[in-house]
Amino acid sequence: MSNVTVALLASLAYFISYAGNWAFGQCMLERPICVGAITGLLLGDPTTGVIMGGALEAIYMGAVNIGGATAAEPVSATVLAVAFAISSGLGMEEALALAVPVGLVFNSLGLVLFMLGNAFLPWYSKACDTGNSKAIDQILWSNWLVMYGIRTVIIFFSVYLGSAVVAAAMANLPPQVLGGLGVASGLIGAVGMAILMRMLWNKETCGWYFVGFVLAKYLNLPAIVLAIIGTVIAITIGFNDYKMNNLKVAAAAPVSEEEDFFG
Amino acid sequence: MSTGLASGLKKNLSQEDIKMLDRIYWRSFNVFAGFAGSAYAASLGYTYSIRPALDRFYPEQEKRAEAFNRHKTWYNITQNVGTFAMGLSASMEKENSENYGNYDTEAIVSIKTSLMGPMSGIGDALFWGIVRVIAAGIAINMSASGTLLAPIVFLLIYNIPSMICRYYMTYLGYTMGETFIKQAFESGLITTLTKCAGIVGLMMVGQMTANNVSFNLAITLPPVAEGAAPVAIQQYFDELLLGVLPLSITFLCYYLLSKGVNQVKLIFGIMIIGIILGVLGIAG
Repeated sequence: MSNVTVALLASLAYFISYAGNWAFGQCMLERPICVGAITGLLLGDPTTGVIMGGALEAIYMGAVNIGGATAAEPVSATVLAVAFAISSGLGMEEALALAVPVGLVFNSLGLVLFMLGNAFLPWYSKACDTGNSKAIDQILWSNWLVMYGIRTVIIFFSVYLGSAVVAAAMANLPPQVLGGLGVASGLIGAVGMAILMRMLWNKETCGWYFVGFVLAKYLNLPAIVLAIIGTVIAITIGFNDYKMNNLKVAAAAPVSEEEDFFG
Repeated sequence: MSTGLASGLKKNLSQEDIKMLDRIYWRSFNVFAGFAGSAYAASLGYTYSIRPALDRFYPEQEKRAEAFNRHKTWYNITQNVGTFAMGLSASMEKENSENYGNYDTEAIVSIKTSLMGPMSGIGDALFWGIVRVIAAGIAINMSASGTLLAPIVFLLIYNIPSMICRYYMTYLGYTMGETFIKQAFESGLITTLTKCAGIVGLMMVGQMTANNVSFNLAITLPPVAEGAAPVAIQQYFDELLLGVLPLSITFLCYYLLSKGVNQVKLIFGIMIIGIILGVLGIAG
């Protein structure tokens, strides 16, 4: 595959997963696990795409678009890492470590592009003032096309110009640095997990984190088995809480109930 | 059960209402697709989504313009629960159109706005914090073998509950109104639901920490006796608790984040430390 073809297919994968995600109800097509698979499929190596997507998913687990603020943009990171791994012969671990700074750079770029929405404001204001229903649809889709179109073009040039740079850099990189990148890619997941724990941590339930950790580490239970065990435990606790709640309500209520009954 | 719930919700609705709500449901998938004006967040997408209601209740151009301008305010709710606000706005716009001139239109905006905090809180925690984490935990596990089933399973586990919730929220908002959300909070239903879902979420995060964070010391102690093999320090840690180092590092990150350390700085810091330790041969 020529450089141009790789860059074209990679940017197509980027558009499908990123623009598609927001056109289909934030269906999570923008998550590395899907982006990796789509990029891999288009570049003819779905296996590498899925494996790398899974690894990046773990790294970017914590990076979700909450309230519009993110620390990293996983889509560009995944597309570039998978494209370089497949076309420039970059090792998977090195490609993963490379993905992290890419995600950070593209995140700031995304914030700038988001501001493009302001250019559409006069059109939007006019549509509101005139009650023009059709214009509302046109503005929404034009902004979508322009915003993701610009991003896609940038990805095209990043892959096109970047693969030669990456290939050259990799050829000259001392093996110790490659080892260091491997260590770094194993560690970065810790930040993602920590971000998730900040969302979920709760004094009452935090013990279950360690149950999940130990079961996976010592028994090598697959995630689906842990999900089933967790769901059963959660449902049991939920019913218990519900009963307790009802008892509390019943204990607090008899006076008014009697009044109702006799009154 | 779910069809029972659906027919219960649709019982008092006309064919036209149902058609309108279904259209709002489908249009809501695009609520964050495009933006106009960063001061209004997703207001454009909101108007886009509830257009079936606004077009229906305000065939007159001036009244419709008034409604469009009314909704030109900051909007942001997790999209698969935000349809509740859309259904509610639709029902309030309907009342306004029926009692035009005698209805407090400010309430339409203020109630929508007051829903944003609590509803996003539940939506983010349930869907991003929990459903997505469970889906990803399972899919990451499968992805190690490179099978395309991994992303497919991921999409299904996330999107089936997400679409069901989005659908019922549209109808609940239209039929139940704001009291429903207040009651759900007061009865403790939401708290219990969030807590139980959080248990599964935390177990999955524990599992992912075990499988996806790795750190091994490469340094060895000099042999105890002459001729014996050098002892790897990592071995002591493994005997203590498998994965105790990655676990501790994860907790260190958690601690730093809760102390307000910036995520980007933390990611870069961890990466640089990893590269240095690897280059020096301390870890590998």
